[in-house]
Amino acid sequence: MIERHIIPELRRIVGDVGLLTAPEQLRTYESDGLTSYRVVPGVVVLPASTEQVQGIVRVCHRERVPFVARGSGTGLSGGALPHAKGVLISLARMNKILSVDLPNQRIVVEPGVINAHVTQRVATQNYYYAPDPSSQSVCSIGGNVAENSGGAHCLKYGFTVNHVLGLTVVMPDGEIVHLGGATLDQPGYDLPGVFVGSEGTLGVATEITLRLIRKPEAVQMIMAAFHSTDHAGGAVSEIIAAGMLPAAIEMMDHLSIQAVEQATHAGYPTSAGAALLVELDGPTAEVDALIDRAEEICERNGAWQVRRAATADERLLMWKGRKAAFAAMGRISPDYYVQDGVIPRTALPRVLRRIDELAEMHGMRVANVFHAGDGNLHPLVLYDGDVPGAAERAEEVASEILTACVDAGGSITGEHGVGEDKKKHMPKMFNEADLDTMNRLRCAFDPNLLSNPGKVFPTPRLCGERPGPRREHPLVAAGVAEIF
Amino acid sequence: MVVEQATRESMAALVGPEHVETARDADAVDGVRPAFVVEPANAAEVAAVVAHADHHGLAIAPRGGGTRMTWGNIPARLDLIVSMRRLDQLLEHADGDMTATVQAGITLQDLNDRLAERGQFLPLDVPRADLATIGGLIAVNDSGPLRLRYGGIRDLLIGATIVRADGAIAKGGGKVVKNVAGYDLPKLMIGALGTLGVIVEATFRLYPLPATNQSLAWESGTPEVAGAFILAVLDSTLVPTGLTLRWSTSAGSTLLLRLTGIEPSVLAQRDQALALAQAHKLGEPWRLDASDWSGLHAELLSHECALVARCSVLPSEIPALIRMLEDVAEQESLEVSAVIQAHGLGLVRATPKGTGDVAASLRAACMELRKRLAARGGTLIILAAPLAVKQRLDVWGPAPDALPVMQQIKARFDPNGSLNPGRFLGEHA
Ligand SMILES: Cc1cc2nc3c(=O)[nH]c(=O)nc-3n(C[C@H](O)[C@H](O)[C@H](O)COP(=O)(O)OP(=O)(O)OC[C@H]3O[C@@H](n4cnc5c(N)ncnc54)[C@H](O)[C@@H]3O)c2cc1C
Repeated sequence: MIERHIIPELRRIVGDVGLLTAPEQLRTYESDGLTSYRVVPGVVVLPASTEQVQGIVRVCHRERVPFVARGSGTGLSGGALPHAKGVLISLARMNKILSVDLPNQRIVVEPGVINAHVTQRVATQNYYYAPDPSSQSVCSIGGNVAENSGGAHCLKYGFTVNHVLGLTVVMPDGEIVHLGGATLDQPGYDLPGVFVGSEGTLGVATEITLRLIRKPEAVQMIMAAFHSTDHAGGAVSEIIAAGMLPAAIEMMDHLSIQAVEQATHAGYPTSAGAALLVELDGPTAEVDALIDRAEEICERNGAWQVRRAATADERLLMWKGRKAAFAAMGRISPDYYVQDGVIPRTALPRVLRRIDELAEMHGMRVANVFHAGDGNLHPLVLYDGDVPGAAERAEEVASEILTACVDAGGSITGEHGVGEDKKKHMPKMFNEADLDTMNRLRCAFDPNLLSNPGKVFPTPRLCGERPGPRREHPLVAAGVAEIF
Repeated sequence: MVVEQATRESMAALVGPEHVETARDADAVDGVRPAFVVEPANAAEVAAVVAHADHHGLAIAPRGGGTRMTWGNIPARLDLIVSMRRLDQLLEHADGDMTATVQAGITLQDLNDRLAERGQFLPLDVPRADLATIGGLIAVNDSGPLRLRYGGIRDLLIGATIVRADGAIAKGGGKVVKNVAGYDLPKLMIGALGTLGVIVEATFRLYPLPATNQSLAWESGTPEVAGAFILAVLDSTLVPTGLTLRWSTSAGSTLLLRLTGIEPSVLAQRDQALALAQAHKLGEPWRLDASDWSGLHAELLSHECALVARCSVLPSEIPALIRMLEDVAEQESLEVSAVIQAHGLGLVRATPKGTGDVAASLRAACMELRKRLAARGGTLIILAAPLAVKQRLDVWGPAPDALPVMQQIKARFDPNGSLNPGRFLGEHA
């Protein structure tokens, strides 16, 4: 339970419409997209402006009450998991696009704006917002910023961090600061660079300046069917080695194809061991020449069917299948547990074989849909939650998959974030000195550890004293400094 | 003398006596002369040297090729230069994964020569690549025309290992392009001027070397015409790997455009660009070669007793920036030249024509430019200037409202202020 006396004060800040205290209302916020973790928040507030966020955070700071920001709640690592004695700050009402500057390819949005709405706003003028998580029709820009979200097109266009120029942030003590800005390389440390991907632990973003991208002249896409992921992986390597940088290269294994085809009828070859989607964009002359080469490479690597999307609609249908992959798992399994470990692309065949082994060893099925171009796996461990112990076994398989990723020189997460779920895996990648250095950054922003506490770091850490003014040069103090 | 001797002996014990040199005049940073230059061989030695210095209250400046040591404010103190020259290895070129891991002291040129053997490159085109080291470039966050297409260092750096002031060796990021585990510590090192740690290792994402390239140039008439052409290219489907405006008080302005890729694409884009140029009534184009691009900035950075600054504006403000430069050139009687990228970053060089109070006119020019740029969201950072200018003017300009956060970061990473004291934002004496 939350300290009751702050409720009236919060009500004064956000009004009745912005405050939820009834248990059944609170319960709808108990988890994000990873429903295996549940905590009912102490109170939920829905501010409508930066000033209201500031007011809320000031109260939290004064009372030392933890707070957790929440966008659309689609996160897959328990990042927006509430604090039982804390305030959950939903940014859903801050959903305005504040300004559009097409000549400079900039747009300023509030954090609750839905990812896809950014592109929708500028699409008729031939612009778009590049990062495209599969959840883009519901996830918020604030959540994208916190997770440094990616998407299929990140291979060529980069992640959220490459598209965020500036941020207005309410710091954990309630100060409003501006990080970065509309122009490049503002003086000082690259604070947008570290705030993006900080998973809500460094403050609350209330305004975000994004970069827009001019739509390319041409886009072409092929879908190729292979007997195995090994063959498909061979094609991926050869495409990259040929010096192409496709907009996206996505792979699905046999199980995923089954699920997706049942759910979407996108025309995926259900008998294939693996399917590859390759999209190229850019100047027409380039795309036309390179898509032919990509087709040849697929065929040379054993593709027994290669289909080229003839129209934009056909292309969108191919994408629809891929983007619905998680949801489609319901067709083949009651439950699934997804991880998003990353490996160097060249380790793909080795790690995929290891995943097969692990699945067999534990008697589980693992479906794979992934961003093959950048080695970002999404192994979906399928299980039935009604079978006692199955969820635990699924988690164990997933955990061993992450170990395999790190052993191959990769990462425990490529886009979903560490959050609550993967914090125990952090020591697989980072030693004590690494984590201590990250904690120093954390403490510089949030010395009282109020902003989304308990996430990301594997063990609770404290901040120690706020460093005071600089120590005097000891040699000067000792009166021996004239020699320097 | 006792302390100096003791320090020398300690350093010699850590890196070998042959790698500890008494500093010379050329080692001074803005006139502040250190006692020694120490050359550690590896990350562990860097850590030992830095920890020892920090413990004994000595001020450290890490140094790569020494090509950008004038950036930043005048050091508050300086005892030790930690030269990264011996950490010059390419540790891994994973060409199939399009990544490379290097020691911080490798030069950009050396790295790109090696990567080219397998058809790839780190798309950074900055002056003095033959001397400039990767660690130094990260610390100053330099970039060139290629940034338009490939992004800056923040878009290319995927992992880094640093030595903290207390000697701890810490890494952030990783060796894979896509990775969101933990805070992005490498980003924090970019542009930090070595004030948070000594970068010892870095991993980058790479790109394939383009098959062909073609460059065109035009006399561009007024800044407004040039600006309109730049916006038109940005708003088109062209994908240039360089779009640059070169301007000076004496020679007017020239537009440069570079197209790269496979040949049919380069040719088709060239025709599109020519049509666009005609629509904007630019003059007859001429062809450029690669050296015209590499020479662009070198001209600006050369020469003593000039002021060199980096301006950042929105692309649409490029003509306004040129007009401002014209005004201050006139007011303060300066020769001014500039190389401005379409993404709004520009290098500006100003040299006094007369012999009066040179420093005063350069200062006045900077202050005036800053005032007018600020009104349009732009900034000006001084990269090199006569000491008399730097003594009176913060090279970074007015601090943003996030300065207290930056100071907290600095205090947590380097509590004793041992790394490049005095040189960063908000530290002007
Ligand atoms: C079906 C499905 C597909 C997905 N596909 C992808 C994909 O392709 N790529 C990908 O990267 N992710 C994907 N995700 C994960 C998820 O959609 C992203 O992480 C997304 O960015 C979360 O946004 P959200 O608004 O839902 O944030 P939430 O889940 O509400 O919050 C996520 C984190 O952000 C913090 N936060 C939210 N708003 C703010 C703010 N304003 N300031 C500071 N911190 C804030 C929260 O505290 C939390 O830590 C997918 C999820 C689902 C369910």
